[in-house]
Amino acid sequence: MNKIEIKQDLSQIKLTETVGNIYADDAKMSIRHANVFYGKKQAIDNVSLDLAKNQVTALIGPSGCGKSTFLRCLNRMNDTIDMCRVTGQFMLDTQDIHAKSLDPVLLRARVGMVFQKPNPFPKSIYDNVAYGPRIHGLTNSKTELDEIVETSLQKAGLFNEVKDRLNDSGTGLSGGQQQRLCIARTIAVSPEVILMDEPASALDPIATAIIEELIDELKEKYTIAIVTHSMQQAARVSQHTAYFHMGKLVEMGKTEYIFTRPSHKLTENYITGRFG
Amino acid sequence: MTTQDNNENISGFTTRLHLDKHISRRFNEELEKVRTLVMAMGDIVEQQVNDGLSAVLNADETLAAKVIERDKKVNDMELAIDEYCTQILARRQPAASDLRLLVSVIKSITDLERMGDEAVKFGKNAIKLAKGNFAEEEGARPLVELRHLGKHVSETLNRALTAYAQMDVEAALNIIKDDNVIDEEFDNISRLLVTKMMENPREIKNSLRVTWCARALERIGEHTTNLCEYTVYLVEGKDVRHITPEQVNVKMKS
Amino acid sequence: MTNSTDNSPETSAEKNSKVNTNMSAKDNSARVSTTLSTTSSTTEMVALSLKKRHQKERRFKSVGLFSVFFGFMLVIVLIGDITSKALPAFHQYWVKLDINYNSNWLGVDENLTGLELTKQLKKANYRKVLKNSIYPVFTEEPGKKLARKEKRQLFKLFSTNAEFTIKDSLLSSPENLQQTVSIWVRLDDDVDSYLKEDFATGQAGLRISKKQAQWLAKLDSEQRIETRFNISFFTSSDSREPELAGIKGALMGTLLTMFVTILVSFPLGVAGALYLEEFAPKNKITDLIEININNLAAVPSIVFGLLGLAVIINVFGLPRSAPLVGGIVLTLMTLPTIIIASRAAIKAVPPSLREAATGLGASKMQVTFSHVLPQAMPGIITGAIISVAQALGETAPLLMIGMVAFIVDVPTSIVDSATVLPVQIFLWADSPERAFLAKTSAAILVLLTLLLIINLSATMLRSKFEKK
Repeated sequence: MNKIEIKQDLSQIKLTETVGNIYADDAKMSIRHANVFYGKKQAIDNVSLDLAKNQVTALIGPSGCGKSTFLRCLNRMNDTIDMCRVTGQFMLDTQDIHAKSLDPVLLRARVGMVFQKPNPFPKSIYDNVAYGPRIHGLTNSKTELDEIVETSLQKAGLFNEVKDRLNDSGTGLSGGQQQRLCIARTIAVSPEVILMDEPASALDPIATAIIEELIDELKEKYTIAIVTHSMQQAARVSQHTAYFHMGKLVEMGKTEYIFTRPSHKLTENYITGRFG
Repeated sequence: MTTQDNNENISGFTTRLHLDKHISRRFNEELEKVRTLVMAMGDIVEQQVNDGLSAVLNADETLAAKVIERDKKVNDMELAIDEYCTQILARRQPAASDLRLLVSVIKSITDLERMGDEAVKFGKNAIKLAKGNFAEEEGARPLVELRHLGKHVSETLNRALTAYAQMDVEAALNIIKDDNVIDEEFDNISRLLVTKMMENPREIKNSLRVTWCARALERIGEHTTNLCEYTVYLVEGKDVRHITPEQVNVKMKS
Repeated sequence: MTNSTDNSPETSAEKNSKVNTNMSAKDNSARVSTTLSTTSSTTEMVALSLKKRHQKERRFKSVGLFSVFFGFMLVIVLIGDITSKALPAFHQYWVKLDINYNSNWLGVDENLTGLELTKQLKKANYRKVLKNSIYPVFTEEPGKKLARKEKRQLFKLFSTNAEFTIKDSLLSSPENLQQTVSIWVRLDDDVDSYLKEDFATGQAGLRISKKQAQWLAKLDSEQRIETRFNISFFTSSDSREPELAGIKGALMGTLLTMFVTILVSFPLGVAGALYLEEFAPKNKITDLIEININNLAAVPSIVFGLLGLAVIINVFGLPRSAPLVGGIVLTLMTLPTIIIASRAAIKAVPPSLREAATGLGASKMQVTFSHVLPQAMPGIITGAIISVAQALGETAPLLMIGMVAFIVDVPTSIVDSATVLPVQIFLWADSPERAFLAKTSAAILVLLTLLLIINLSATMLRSKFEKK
């Protein structure tokens, strides 16, 4: 209820100059008037958008447009940067995630993140996946943990490939497998939202396709936001697309619209590879 | 929901679609070539239609033969443009306006080719009509009507191609709305010819030929409307096919 | 002369013309080359420059090879020199003497038995026994007594330790009282040096008179002299007498000091580095701390010694010369190095690893201790070992806190008085006795071996952590 009230409240005033539709019928996360400053430089300028539940929202835009910065605000990864200052309202269901009372550790258990470069811990495959449940104390017994590790690896489509070598180092896997291991590690904590920061940019086309397929399956259970440089990828995996430009959210809408008839000239120029 | 510079008074395909603004210069050139090819094909088809029509009206057998002969060129162009578009789709994976351009081109050339086929029908009928001396005997009145319809269709086609070349949505929408005028004229000719046939059963054959010509003109009118619909889709990204003019109005305003 | 002066204008003209032709030739060639360069492809131009580049590379390679070789040679020379000088210290000469345990000479009542006897034997006069046992052997004519000077020279042949050897022997087997027994005793360090230095038999040598040399020749001919491995070098402590001096005390002192140093500096250094890198806010204060740490690393080590003396000994009242104080002083010295090395190692841990753990919801502490520290460990250990090795060779600060004292006892705890190897080396190098030269080199060898062991263990630890 609270969430809906906020929506109505804010929809009275003109949110931004964003073209298209920033609202989702069933929003998992609602961000309103987000501003991010690095020192005196403003990286995000008055961005408002919803992440639709159990759908994939792609954030696209040229380098330095603030899409990664924005994504990192969604699980407060920017907290670790001293100069970074974030304002605005970030709601996860009915919880303001930038509230002082909320421990970022708790938030990150609910909002997981997958990074651009596959970054498995230099530990065994098993320990990689088990790390999250262990630190959060999600299991009481070894068998429970085994089960979590197995189901997570299965969900990430990696189990059959690694089931015989769970004790081998995670860094010994191929790039695509490493990235799927990172996804398995993230879903082992059973988050509600998964943030992906260019998850396939370091992978070859086959591994990319596998990851994209995986994203498509994961959206059944999780709400996903993905930053990508590949417009084709955004077009393939996402249901909603948000186009960022110079820290502003220029246009947001259903992916099918954005890639066939974008409304804003900047969006059009970006996705058709034009300058100007 | 309109592209920003919609209101700017820019004429021309290239400027309107910013075909010169791609980061890849090769892509610019490729799209430009597609455009040139389509416009060239449009020119030929227009000429075919006009020549076919005048062959029928003037009972000019040589011109008719020329029209039939020239249709091969139209078919070849369709194949060439099709292949070229497929190549661009495969290599560039175009999006948004570029994608719409290619989709509309692929569809447009089909319609243009069909128009070419209709022009061939003119040619064939013109040869037969010339042999039957239809024009000098009973055909004077229907041919006047046919000339009238032909002039209208030809003009519409010309306008449609101009609208396509200039990305003129306004003009295209007008043509779509005017489509029923052609239909009405076709109905008139049909009624006239049916009367003729009942009056003079000897001339049924020739009357039918004229009917077919009129029918061909009506088809060309339909294809012209399609061209205009593609123009609207290309510029606005909105599909205005298979809906009533009222619905079109609503859709264009949304 | 005139001819030549006459000729000179002509020659100059000739020269001129020559120069001209030269010039034109040059011009020609230049033109040719320019036309060539305009027509010739890049390949040819690159080929031309390639030769020069290869030459440069070869030159650099040879310089590098030379410097490596030169450094290697220096090390070889150093080690070789030290080893050759140290070798004599590892063996020493012993002499077999027939000792007559005469109870009169000893001043012991021969009728006593048991504890009483032992008590008396402990206080007995063994010097007299030694003297009276050896004088007759060297008396040239029977009945004729040795001159006083000769007696002194003769007695000087044997180590001052000889009488204690005799004493120990009798104490362990009291039944030898009133018997004559053959006992091996050490020769004096001068004699030892003399024997090691290859003088002709019976000839006078360094600090050895002709007479003494003849006596030694006599002993040798009777096969009473033999060379043994100098085990006491490793088992005994410092002594004024070179033939008795060993390094055990200094070695123990070093080990105890290192123990304290590692125990204090490693946790402190790593904790400090972790705090500064991972937890501390980045502001002016931390910047200031960082600058100061870097400066501390460059402070002369003797300053830390002064600090130790002024604060640790005078204010806190810890004992002088103790490994505890030495360790603390060396900690002060090594701490900046460990912190700097650890910070570099921690900085080198890829941020993606921190992000991964943070993104999973690990707290700062968990990120630091389960990911950052294990990854940084090889680097930290390398830094720590290097700084500890540096501390191992440190003398100056320890001089200030009194670890330079002459200490005979082997230290057994960190509060006992002790000295360390480098100070021991310094002390021996300062001693006038010739035999200490070899001891100094031998001690250096031991120090180098210790360093080698430390470095090896560092390498092993490092590879073990890297495997993980």
